[in-house]
Amino acid sequence: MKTLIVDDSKMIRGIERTVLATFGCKEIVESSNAADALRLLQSFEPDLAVVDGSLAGEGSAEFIRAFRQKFPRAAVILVTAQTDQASAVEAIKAGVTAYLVKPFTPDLLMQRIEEACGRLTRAA
Amino acid sequence: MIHQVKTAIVESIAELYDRMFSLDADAVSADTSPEESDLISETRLSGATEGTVSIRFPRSTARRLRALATGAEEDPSDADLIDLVNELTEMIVAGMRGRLGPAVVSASRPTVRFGLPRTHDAAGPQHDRWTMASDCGGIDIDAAIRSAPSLRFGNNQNRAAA
Repeated sequence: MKTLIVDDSKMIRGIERTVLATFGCKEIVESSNAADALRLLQSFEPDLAVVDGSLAGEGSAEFIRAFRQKFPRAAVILVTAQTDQASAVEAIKAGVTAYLVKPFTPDLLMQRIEEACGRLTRAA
Repeated sequence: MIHQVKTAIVESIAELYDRMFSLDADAVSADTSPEESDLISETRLSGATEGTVSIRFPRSTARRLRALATGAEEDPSDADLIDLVNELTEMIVAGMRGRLGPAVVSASRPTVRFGLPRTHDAAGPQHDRWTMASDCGGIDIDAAIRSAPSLRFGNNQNRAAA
């Protein structure tokens, strides 16, 4: 499974990469912001995107809308802080498959990946 | 109000440590010595309650927490430690706001720097300082808050009306 991680925190990207690798993801590409992530998508076609709910610049909802237009069948997991409710609702409307509230345990992230991939498999 | 803020921060840190590091964290009396190599995060609060929450991470504690979170064994760069403290502070403050209610407290994005903590005017806002102790070492919390001016003005108006 090809996976894109978009988060401004290197630590969070590292945690997500470790969990995704445990899940069996072999092709993982990371970006610290939405603009760079969109550029990466010109040559990388992910099955799953794990996206920070508070991306600066173009923002999470804008990024997810653009991602969805390009990859309508891919799964998107939104990772959001407890008080990002307004932006989380906007991002969910933009088309996330599952969301996860920080702080999260590796098990919770694994569970969301399984849910998102299950929906991906059923939709295919 | 300082007691509610402290309780919300203590609970938020305990939840964060449990979920991200599988660690217990307990509030104890402040009992550490600041050093220039420490990382200090500062978050400004506004809304019905305004003030500042400062969190001091000794470098050794930040390194241990990062190793626990990422499994990385290499010596982290200053940028890595700033990233860790920034992210942890955002989660702590988000947890605090979730417990107090966003109408009570809104918060800036944290600023993170190396150095010594600032000192507060003892005659100013309500103030509390304590340490959250864990097996990775302690972090010091310094919360200084007061009711927003509009609320204080409103209270005066109420008293005048009475």
